[in-house]
Amino acid sequence: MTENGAIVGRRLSKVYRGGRGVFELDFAVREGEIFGFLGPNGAGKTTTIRALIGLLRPTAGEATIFGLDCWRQSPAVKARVGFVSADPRLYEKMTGAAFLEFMAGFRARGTMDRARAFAREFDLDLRAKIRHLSRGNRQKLLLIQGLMHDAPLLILDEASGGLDPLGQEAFLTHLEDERSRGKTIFLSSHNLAEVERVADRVGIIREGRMVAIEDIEKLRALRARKMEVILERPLNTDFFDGLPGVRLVATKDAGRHVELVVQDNPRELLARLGTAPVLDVVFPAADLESVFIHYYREDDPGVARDLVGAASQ
Amino acid sequence: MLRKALWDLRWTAFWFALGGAGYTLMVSLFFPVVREQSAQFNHLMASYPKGFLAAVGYTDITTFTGYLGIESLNLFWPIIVAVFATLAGASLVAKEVEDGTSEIWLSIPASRWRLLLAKMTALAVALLGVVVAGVLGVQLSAVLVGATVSATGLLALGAVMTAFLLVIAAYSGLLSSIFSSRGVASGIAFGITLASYVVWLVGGLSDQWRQLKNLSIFTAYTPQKALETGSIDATSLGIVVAITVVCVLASLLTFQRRDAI
Repeated sequence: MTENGAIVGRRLSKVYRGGRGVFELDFAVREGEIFGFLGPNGAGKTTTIRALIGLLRPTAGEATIFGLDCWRQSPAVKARVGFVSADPRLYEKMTGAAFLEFMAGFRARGTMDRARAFAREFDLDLRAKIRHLSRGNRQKLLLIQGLMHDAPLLILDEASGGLDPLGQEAFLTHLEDERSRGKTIFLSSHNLAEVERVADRVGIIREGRMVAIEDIEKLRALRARKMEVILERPLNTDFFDGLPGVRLVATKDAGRHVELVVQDNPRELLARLGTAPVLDVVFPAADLESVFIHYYREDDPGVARDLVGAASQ
Repeated sequence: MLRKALWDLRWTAFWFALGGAGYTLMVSLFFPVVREQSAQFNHLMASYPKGFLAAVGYTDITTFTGYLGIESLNLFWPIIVAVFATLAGASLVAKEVEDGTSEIWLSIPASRWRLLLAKMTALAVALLGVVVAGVLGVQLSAVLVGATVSATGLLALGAVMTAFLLVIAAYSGLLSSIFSSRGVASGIAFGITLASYVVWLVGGLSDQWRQLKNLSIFTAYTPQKALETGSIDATSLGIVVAITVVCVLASLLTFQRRDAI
């Protein structure tokens, strides 16, 4: 990997006893982009992030952030990173304000003022003790401590977990704002919908190995979209034969409701449907689910089902 | 970090300090009775097995320092405060890992050794507080029973107490840096302290085994002698301090290099 970037992994490996871990990850996150890091639970997302912030020592290879080695120059790296952990466990006896003041004490002056502003924006009462906070409010507190020092790079590990739908929407909007201010964001998630909404590029990790890094639009082009056609009367069973990238997957209602999977440009399909007694066509926007399935389904369909389930939550 | 670590330790340190000093104060109130009936008590003590008397550091129960030695300083005070030093030392790193706060702790933009050293410094300050309370307890006891202890005696007592607690905290801290479990770290640390005491005890039973005492941290822990004479065994105390320093450095090095989850 020769490409420079805000984050660069070069054959980054962290192997645990028992053989699990991440293996020879090569990737680069460009400055100013939102990089979605996708994979199901246990795929290696958190291990990768822990190596990036210097919690884990790589077994082989290296990772750099803004050119600084994540292990050997960890303090300098952390000064440039806002990190939000997937683990909402915090110092339980502290109040939210005391926790943020403690963390702000290691950052530049004015950090606590930003923290208080975020708390108002996220509607979080900082006077409450952390042990009394709900999962969602703990997550808000974590988010605030990650954002408050205005770091040029945000590393977010399942950061929207526990937030209610309004909170998730505010979170994603905030990420887009941060990107517009030139921030780089590494967004680890198993939630396809949120990554699809904001990411510029996506890395997909599977069983500790990076199986794809693509622009989000290119990934969408790989999609196999589902189309539903409602007909006035049934068609012959060979009606869709010979159409490139079109596969008939189901018929219902005595053949008047047809479900197709469309892999390529649907121009020829639409032209042929023009000759049929069509009442309605449902052709939803492209999403990442099908792309994910593309990378996962071949030898582990169970994982693909889990991912689709997670995305629909 | 130092301020937070001190804040976290404040109540535990307070209660152990109070417990140690309070115990000393409480038992000292019985000293006038012992002093008045010294002949009977000397006769009674002579009937105890030699090994037992050696175990509790008995010399002369009818003097204030001798009485305080056998009743508090030689065995019970160190047991009380060693529990604190062990548990607090074993918590330095392992508690963060067990509580799941290590990610937050280590996301602070400072090197790991600095973060750990801040916690160690806070623990040392807390232990010093426990020692100061212990020394004040001895001074107050002396005043209450009409005995006299010298300022140099109290200073020497403070020195041996401090060295004793610091070395226990230091190897407990090293074990905490190695293991991610408070239970494992404190269990091994208690085992080391107990083994050290047994070695010291056996070394005191016979001239043949005297050399064993050189393997024990208890050789440097001579509170009764320090209080009586105002002097310390600089060599054994120096060895204990050196062990402390080595354990601290090893802890910092270990923690700097290990995976922290």
